[in-house]
Amino acid sequence: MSDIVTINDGKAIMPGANAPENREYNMFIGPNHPGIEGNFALKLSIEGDIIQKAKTEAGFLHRGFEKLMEERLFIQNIAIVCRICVPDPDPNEENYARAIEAIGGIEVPRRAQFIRVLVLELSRIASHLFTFGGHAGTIGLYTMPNWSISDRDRVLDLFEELTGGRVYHIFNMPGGVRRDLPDGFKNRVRDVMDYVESRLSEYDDLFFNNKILLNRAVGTGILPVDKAIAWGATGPNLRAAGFAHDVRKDDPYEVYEELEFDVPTAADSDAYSRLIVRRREIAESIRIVRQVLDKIPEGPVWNKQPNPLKWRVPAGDAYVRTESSKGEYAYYMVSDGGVRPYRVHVRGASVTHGVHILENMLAGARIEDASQIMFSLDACPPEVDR
Amino acid sequence: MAIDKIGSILRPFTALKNLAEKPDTLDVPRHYRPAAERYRGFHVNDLDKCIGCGTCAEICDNAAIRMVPVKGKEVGVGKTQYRPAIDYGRCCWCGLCVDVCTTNSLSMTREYTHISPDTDTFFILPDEKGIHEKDFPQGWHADEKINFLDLERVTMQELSAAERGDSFIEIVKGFSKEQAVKEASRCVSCGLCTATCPAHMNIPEYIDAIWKEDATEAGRQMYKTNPLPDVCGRICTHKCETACSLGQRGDPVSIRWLKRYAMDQIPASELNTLVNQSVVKQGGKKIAIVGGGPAGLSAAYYLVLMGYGVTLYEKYPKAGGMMRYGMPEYRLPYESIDKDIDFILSLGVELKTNVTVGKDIPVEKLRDEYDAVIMATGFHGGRSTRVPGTDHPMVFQAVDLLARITNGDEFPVEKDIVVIGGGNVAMDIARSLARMQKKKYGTVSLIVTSLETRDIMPADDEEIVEGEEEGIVFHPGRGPEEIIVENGSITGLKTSRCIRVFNDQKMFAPEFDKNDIEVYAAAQVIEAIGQGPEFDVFAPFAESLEMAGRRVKVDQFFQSSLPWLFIAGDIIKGPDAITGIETGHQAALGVDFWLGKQPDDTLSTIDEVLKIALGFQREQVTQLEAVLAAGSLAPAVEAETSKLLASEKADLAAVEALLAGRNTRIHLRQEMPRAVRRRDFKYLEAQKPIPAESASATIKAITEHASAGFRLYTDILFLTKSKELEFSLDGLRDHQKATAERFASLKD
Repeated sequence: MSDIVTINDGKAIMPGANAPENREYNMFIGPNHPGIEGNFALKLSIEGDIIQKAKTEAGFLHRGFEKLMEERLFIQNIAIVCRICVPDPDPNEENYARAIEAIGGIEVPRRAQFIRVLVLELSRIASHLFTFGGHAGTIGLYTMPNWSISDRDRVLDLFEELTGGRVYHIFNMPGGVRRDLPDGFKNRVRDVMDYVESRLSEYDDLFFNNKILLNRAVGTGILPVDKAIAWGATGPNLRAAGFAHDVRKDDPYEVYEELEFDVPTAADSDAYSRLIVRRREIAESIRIVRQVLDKIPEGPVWNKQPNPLKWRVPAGDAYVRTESSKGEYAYYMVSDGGVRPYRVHVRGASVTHGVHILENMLAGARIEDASQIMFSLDACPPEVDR
Repeated sequence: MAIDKIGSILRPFTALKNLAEKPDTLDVPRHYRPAAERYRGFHVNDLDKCIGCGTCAEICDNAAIRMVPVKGKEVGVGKTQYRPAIDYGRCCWCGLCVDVCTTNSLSMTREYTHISPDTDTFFILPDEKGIHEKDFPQGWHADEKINFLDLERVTMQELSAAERGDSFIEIVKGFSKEQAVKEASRCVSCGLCTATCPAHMNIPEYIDAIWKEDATEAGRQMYKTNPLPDVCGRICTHKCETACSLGQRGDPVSIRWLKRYAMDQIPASELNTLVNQSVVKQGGKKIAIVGGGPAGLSAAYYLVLMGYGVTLYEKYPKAGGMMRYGMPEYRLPYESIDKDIDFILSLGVELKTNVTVGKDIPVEKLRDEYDAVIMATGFHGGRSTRVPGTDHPMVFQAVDLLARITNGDEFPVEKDIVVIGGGNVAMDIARSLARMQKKKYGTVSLIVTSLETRDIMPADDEEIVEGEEEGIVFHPGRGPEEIIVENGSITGLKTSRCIRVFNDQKMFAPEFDKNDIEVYAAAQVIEAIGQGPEFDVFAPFAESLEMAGRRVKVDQFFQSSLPWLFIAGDIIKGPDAITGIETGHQAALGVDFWLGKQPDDTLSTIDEVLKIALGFQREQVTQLEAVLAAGSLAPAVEAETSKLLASEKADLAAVEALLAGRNTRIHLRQEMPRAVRRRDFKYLEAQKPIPAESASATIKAITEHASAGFRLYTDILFLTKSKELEFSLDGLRDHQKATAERFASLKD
C-alpha cells in the first residue's frame, strides 16, 4: 500500500463524505476573539459558508452579582452594581438607587435628578461611541475604533472630574448623588458636547457613508419588526425596526418629562439601521445634556439617609426600568425590611439581544457576518452573565 | 445631518486632513497624566487624627480594609492603636470608607499607578504620605454637605425649670420607642465605648438590640457585666459617650439614655429571664460583703450566681449606698434603685441592714464566720475646707445632708445658702436645697462657689446649666477664706479670687489673690469639696494590713495583704458608680479564684477519687445481692446476674486493694479546669435500687448502673492520669462497659 493518501483514496475510505449529514461542521468564535464583545463564545454549525445553527456560550464572566447583593448592606451595593455592565454602568446605579427610593418612599432633590440625567446621557454617548468602534472592527475598518474610543475618553474625563472614577462611577446613591457638580464643570461638558457633535460629520465621512460599511451592513442581519417584538427586543434594536419605544418617553423617570428630545427610528431593521439609530441617538443625547445644563436648579444633591451601617429599607418590592444604551434595563428588588436586599433581579437587555435574538438571527447568515450581527445588536456579555 | 447612502470609495480619505493635527495621546509613563480633583486614587490617612474606630473596615464591601495595631500610637479614651491597612488586591476604589470616616482623617490622592511583581506591596498601611511617599495632591475627600453619619443626637425631653423647680420629680423624661430606635441607629458599632467603660459593657451589642426593638436582648447584654443597669441608665458618668467616635465630628450617641430606655421596657418581674441562673453550688462557701453600694451589690450578684452564699451588711436602713443616699431623687428615682436591688436580692443574697460593721459586729467575727470578706464601704466622709468658722452648727457636709434628705430627716434650710464646691456632689446638694428653698420660701437664694473657673469645673456641664435655670447663682474661681459668724449665727462667706488651682506639675496647689475679696451673704454654708473613705473599720488590722498611700494595697484581684479580705468600690478606685460595679465584679472573681485554690474545695487527691469508686462498687454488690435474694428473676437473667455479682465483688476487692496499697495524697492534675475537678459525679444517682419484680426493669437498671460505672472510671482516669493507676482502672472500666453492653442486649 502506498504511503500517500490521495483524495480519491479518501473517498474510497469514507464513501458517505458528501452525504448531507456529513457536510456540516462546528466552529467556535470566542471566548477569546476580536470579533466578540468580551468573554463570550458562539458555537456555530456551518455548512459551506452559511450558518445553520448558532448556540451562544455565556458564563465566562459570571460573578453572581444578584447573590452578592443579598449579602451586602444597601449602601455597599452601590459599589458593585456598576460592574454588571462595563461600557454603560450608570443605568445599573440608576436602577438600584431608584428601586430603593421606590420601596422606601425616598425623595430625590431636583438638582440630583438633573445630575442623574446628565450622567445617564453621557454614559449613553460613551457607550455608543464604544459600539461604533467595535462594529467597525468586525468589518476591518480599524480607523474608526481609534477615533471613537479616543473621543469616548473625553466623556470619561468628564466622569472622572464629576464622580472620581472614569469607568465605574459609583456616584448614584439612594436619595441623590454623592457629590455636587465641580466648579466650571458645566462649561467643560459644553465643550465636550460641541466637540463630539463636530465629530459626528467626520464619522459620517469615515464610517457611516463608507462604501465598505454600506456593502457589508445594509441588508445584513435583518430583524423583522414582528419578530423583534415577539422576541423581546428593546432599545435601539427595536427602534431600528421602526417601533418607537423608549422608556424615557413611555415611562418617564427623573426629569425626562421636562426635556425635549426625539426618538430616532429606522425602517429597514438591518445592521446598518441599528448603527444609524445609535448615531442619531448621540445627537439627541447631546441635545438633552445641553438642556440639563441650562435648566439644572440650585439646591442640595442628596437627601440625608440613615447611618449606612444601620440602614433598613422598609419591606416591599419595586420594579424600576431605565432606557440604557442597550435597551430597556430593569431591576426588580424585594426588601424584607432588613439591612440588606432580600432579592435583586437584574433584567438586562443583553440577554434577549445577545442570546435569544442573536441565536435566531445567525441561522442562515454568512459566517463572515456573525461578528457584525452580534455587534449590531450591541449586547454586553458581562451583563448576560452578571 | 441627513445620512444619505451615497457611499464613495474615496470618502474615508477625507480623514487624511487630520494628519496635520497634534495628537491627543500621551507618552505614558514619561508623561504622567494628572488625575481630576476628585480622583479616587490610593488612600492617605492622617494617623494622628485617626482614632482607629474601624468604621471604614466595617463599610468596605470587599473586606479590603483590615485594622492593624500601630506601635507608638496613643491609646486612650476614644482612641485605639489600630489603624486601617488596605489590600489593593481587593479594594475597588469606591471611596465609601472616606465618606463614612468618623474623623475625616481618611482620604484619597490623585495617584493611580502601582506596579510591582511583589504582591506584598499591594497591602499597605496608608499614612499622610501615600503609597509611594510622593507628594500627590488630594483626591476624593470628605464633603461637608454629604454626611453619611447621623451627627445630631435625638433631643431628650426634660421637665422645664418651672416644672421641676420645687419638686424632686425626675427631670429626664426618657426616650419614646421611636426616639430610642432613631438614636440607636446612629451607632456605628466601633466599640470604643466598650474599651472605655470601666465595666466594659457590651455597648454596641445592646444598642444594636435596641435598634432591633429587642429590649430583652439589650438587657441580657447589660447584665453580663453590669447588675445595676437601671441605675447606670440614669446616673452613670458615661465615659463611653466621651469616647464615642461620633463625637469626633458631632454629638456622641446617647448611650446612657438608651440604656435607661431599654431597662425601662423590662418590668421587674421579667428580670430573671435575662440572667443565666444555672448555678453550680460551691460546697456551702459563705462570703460577707460590707457595704450595700454599687460595688457591694455587684460583688454580691456575681458571687451568688457563682453559687456562693452571700451576706450583705449595710449600715443604712436600705441598700444602695451612694446611689440612694448620695443621689438626689430628681436624678435617680428610688424605684429604679429598688428595681435593681430587689432583683439582686431575689437571687438569694441575704441583706442585713442597720448593721455597721466594726461597731455592731466586729470584723474579726466576719473573718471567722465567712470564707472571705469584701469591704466596699465607700466614700461617706465629707472633707472640710477647715477655714475659720467651719465648726459652726450651720455648716454642713453635702454627703450628710444628701443622706438626710433620702432618710426624710428634718434639718434647717435657711433663706440664703452658700455651697462650696464645683463637682457633681456640690451640684446635687445645691439643686436639692434650691428645691427645698423654693418650696419653703417660694424663691431660690443659693450661691455656689468653686476654686475652679467655669471652664474647668468638674461638674457635668448640663448640671451647671440646669442649676442656673433653677435659680442658682454661680461664682466660680473663688476660694473660701472665712465663714463670718456674728452673734453666734452665720452672716456670710468671705472669698478671695483663685488665681490657679493646679501647679505646673498638675498637682492640686491653689493660689489666691488676697486683695480680691468678695463676701456672699448666707445663713447656712454647705461644704461639698470632696469625700473620702472612713477607715475605722480597718483599725483592728492596722498593723498587718499593707497600705499604698491612702488606699489599701491590693493585687489585680482586689485581694489585700490579708488573704481573706478583698476591697472594692470607691475606697479602692473611682469614685463613681460604674467603677464601683467593675471593682465589685473583679473582687467577686478574685474571691472565686482564691477560694478555688483552697485544697478542700474540690477533689484534690487520688484517694478521694478512689473512695468514690469504692462506694460505687460496694453499692453494686449490695444491690445485686438483694436482687438475687428476692429470687423472682427468670433463670437466664438470674444466671447472668450471679455472674455479674461475682465479677463486681472482684472489682470491689481490686479497688480496696488499690486504696490499701496507697497511702498518698498525690494531687490531681492541677491544670485541669476547676469545673472538671469539681465534678459531682451526678450520674451516680442512677445507682438507685434495682427492681426484682420484672426482668426487663432489672435488665434496664443494671445496664444503667454499668453505664454510670463506665463514666465514673473514665472520669477517674481523666482526673488522675497516673500511669500506676491506669493499668488497674482500665480493666474496671472495660468491665463496666462490657456489662452495660451485655445486659442491654439481654432479652427477658
